[in-house]
Amino acid sequence: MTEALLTVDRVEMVFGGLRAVGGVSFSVKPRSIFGLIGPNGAGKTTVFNCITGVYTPTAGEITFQGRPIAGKPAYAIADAGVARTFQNIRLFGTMSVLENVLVANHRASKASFFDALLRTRHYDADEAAMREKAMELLAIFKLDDQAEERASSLPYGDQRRLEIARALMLNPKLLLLDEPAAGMNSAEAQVLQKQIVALRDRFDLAVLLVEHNMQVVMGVCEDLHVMDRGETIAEGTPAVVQSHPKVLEAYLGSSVRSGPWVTTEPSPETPAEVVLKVDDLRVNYGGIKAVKGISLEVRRGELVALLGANGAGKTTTLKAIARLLPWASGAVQFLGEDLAKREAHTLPGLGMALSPEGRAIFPNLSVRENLEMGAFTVSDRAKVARGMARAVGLFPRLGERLSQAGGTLSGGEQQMLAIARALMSEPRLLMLDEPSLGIAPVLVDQIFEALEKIRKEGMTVLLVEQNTRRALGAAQRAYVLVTGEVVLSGEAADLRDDPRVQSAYLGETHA
Amino acid sequence: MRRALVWMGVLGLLVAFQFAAGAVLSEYVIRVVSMCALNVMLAVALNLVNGTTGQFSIGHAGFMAVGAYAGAITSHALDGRLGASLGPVTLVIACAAGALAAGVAGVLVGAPSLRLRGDYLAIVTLGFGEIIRISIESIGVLGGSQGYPMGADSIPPYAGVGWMVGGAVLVTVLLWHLTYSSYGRALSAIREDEIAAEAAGIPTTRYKVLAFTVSAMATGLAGVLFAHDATGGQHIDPAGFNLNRSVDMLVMIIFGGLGSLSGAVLGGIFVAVSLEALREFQGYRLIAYALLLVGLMLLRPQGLLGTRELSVSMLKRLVPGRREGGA
Ligand SMILES: Nc1ncnc2c1ncn2[C@@H]1O[C@H](COP(=O)(O)OP(=O)(O)OP(=O)(O)O)[C@@H](O)[C@H]1O
Ligand SMILES: [Mg+2]
Repeated sequence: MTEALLTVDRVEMVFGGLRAVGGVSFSVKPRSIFGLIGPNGAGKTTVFNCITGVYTPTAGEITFQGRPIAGKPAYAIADAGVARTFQNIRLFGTMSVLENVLVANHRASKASFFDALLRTRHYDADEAAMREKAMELLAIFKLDDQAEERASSLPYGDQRRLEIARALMLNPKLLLLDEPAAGMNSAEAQVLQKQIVALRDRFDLAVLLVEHNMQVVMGVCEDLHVMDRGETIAEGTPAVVQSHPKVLEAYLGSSVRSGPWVTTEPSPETPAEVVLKVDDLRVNYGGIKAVKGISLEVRRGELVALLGANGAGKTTTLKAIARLLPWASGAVQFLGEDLAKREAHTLPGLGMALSPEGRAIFPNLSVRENLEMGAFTVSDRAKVARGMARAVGLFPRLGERLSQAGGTLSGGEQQMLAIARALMSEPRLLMLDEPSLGIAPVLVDQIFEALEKIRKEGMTVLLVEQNTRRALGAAQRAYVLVTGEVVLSGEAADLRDDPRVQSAYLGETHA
Repeated sequence: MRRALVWMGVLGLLVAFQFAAGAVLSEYVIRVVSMCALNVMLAVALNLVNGTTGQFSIGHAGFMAVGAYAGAITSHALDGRLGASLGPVTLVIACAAGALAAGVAGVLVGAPSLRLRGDYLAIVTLGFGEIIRISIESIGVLGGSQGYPMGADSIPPYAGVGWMVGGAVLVTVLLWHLTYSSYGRALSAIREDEIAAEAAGIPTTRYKVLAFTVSAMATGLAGVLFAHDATGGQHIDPAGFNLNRSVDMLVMIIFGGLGSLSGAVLGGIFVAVSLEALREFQGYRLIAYALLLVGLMLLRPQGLLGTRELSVSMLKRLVPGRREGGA
């Protein structure tokens, strides 16, 4: 047996009274791809944080290349050859794409402080070499054309890719990826899957992968370690783990069976009243036309899906409807009201709620306070209590954590909170931006079941979702966007088998 | 080689300026130019900490005081021995001493407080600025609140306008190099996200202290030149380095746009010129600042230039008037 690159030995991390990680052990061999999976809040990200020095584990040993690293400062661990990406993207937002990557080469740079201060020729040569290397890495992820753009202006999927490029700039021997496929559709995830293997071969590194997309996990991982509530529940090859009863129950749910997850009936014969009507809406970012004249309609009691590849303009559309972005032109009517004259903060009062991409949790407020913020416009105490009960019923984990600060929740828990918060005001129209993002497979099932229930109770839903099959299974109707335009729309049942839906995605991906 | 030539050229120009200025410009104009140069140094230095690195210091007048006193003491000691003909040598040594002393103070203040996140630095630097001022007031050999030097003595007025402008050019060019180098990127990364910066291999605490120390040194240098300013009073007193002075510096960089070096330069010049123009209303300057900042927040909350630098394309865009609107 070859010597392990990374050994995690009975590592434990306790926050206050909560054992987030309760004695986990595993080891990663050089050049292997190792998966760490488990339900939301299992402690996966916390393990990453212990390995990379964000936290000092409360007990246990971590060894990298034979040297103990637990408790060392994060930059020293990065220097030693452990690079990572973050579940909640952490880019240097106002800096350019290229600069983001260059930062990670700073420590390897051979130019001294005085070289930089005096801008010597030595410095210039070093900088040129650095830039060349950074551009090569960006090219792997097809980001070289955007090198000079602001990192925060990239679409979500590209931001994830940029984080990987930045991590690679450290010349790591071990790459930790925390949900790299979150927010990617299946075509993009497939590309990513190939890229992970290619990176391992090209850069001669080992990959430790946390991911909820089972297609990716089962496709690339050679070994798996499954956690639940801080404990190990299974380990072994994907084949072994996949059929492990505990894993099926706690984590996978129905995802191993392959759909078709059709939960809804088609639209009724006599259409209900129009709740939301969008007419030729256009949105620009600076000179870039992000939404180029979208028209759509959502009727009472419907669940309508808005589909499309990364950067197609779905999030922009939702934000523009909620008046969070200025319109270039067009009109939106909500319950007969012209939204052009409305400001964003008045919309919840009208009955519109948005669970935004990136969640926008108030990090320093408790879970309970975050939920209460969702009912800010509701003065009826009984209604607030009902909302709270519903949130806890839908996501029992939130009920256990009502006084925890929102910012310390796991990624999936934050997603639950964002959805629950949007529901608090019992809106007439609920707009969800990728509710399944970062959510474990079992819980995705539960969320879609819950959506169906909520809809039957009379709520109207406009849904943006990368998981096309899931979304088309739950929706009555759908619109497919490509580069800011509606290219296809109709009954979800018809679109399910329409090959054009797939090609709408493929046309856009970084294949 | 080419770089060395460029520097020689700049030096030549400054020397020529130093000698020609007296003949061509009025005393008043020279005075205002010297003040502008001083402010540029102060603003550019503070911008490295508050703009680029995203920390918040509100006590930089303290470093200016340390530099000014250390420089003045040095030149006072040397001047008698070297004489006026070696004045430039005395001044250069005084500059080095002042910058060094301010740098040491920077490490002493920065190392403990930059370890902590958040607003501690603001509180510590605020305290530091006041402590320095009050300590000087109570130290007899420094002249206490009467100022330095004591009696009929005066600080030699070696820093003519060429020196002042030279100091501003030196500080601006060096810090421009630093800001737009690999080191500057590391500092900006700290401003954007400390955890991600650490994960990218940047020792964030060490680099914050580094930036803070460099900034303190540049501020100290400005202090030395201020003390020796030929158009000044050849005398320094603690009241000249009070909180007002720190607020002046903050206003300069906020006006120009936090994080923009050319913004800091413009902000420094703006504050110098407007303080001069409103000389009779000096007492109301805090009110004027408040109005200015409120106006700025309403019209251009990111400051004059935001985080961008002044560039030819930016100027071009201003010229043909407004392009079509839209967001
Ligand atoms: N700083 C903290 N303080 C208190 N609790 C925390 C803190 N960090 C994490 N937790 C809790 O520890 C548990 C493990 O969190 P972690 O982020 O590791 O989960 P995860 O496995 O990555 O989940 P997900 O798949 O949702 O990302 C969660 O229940 C979380 O709420
Ligand atoms: Mg996580």
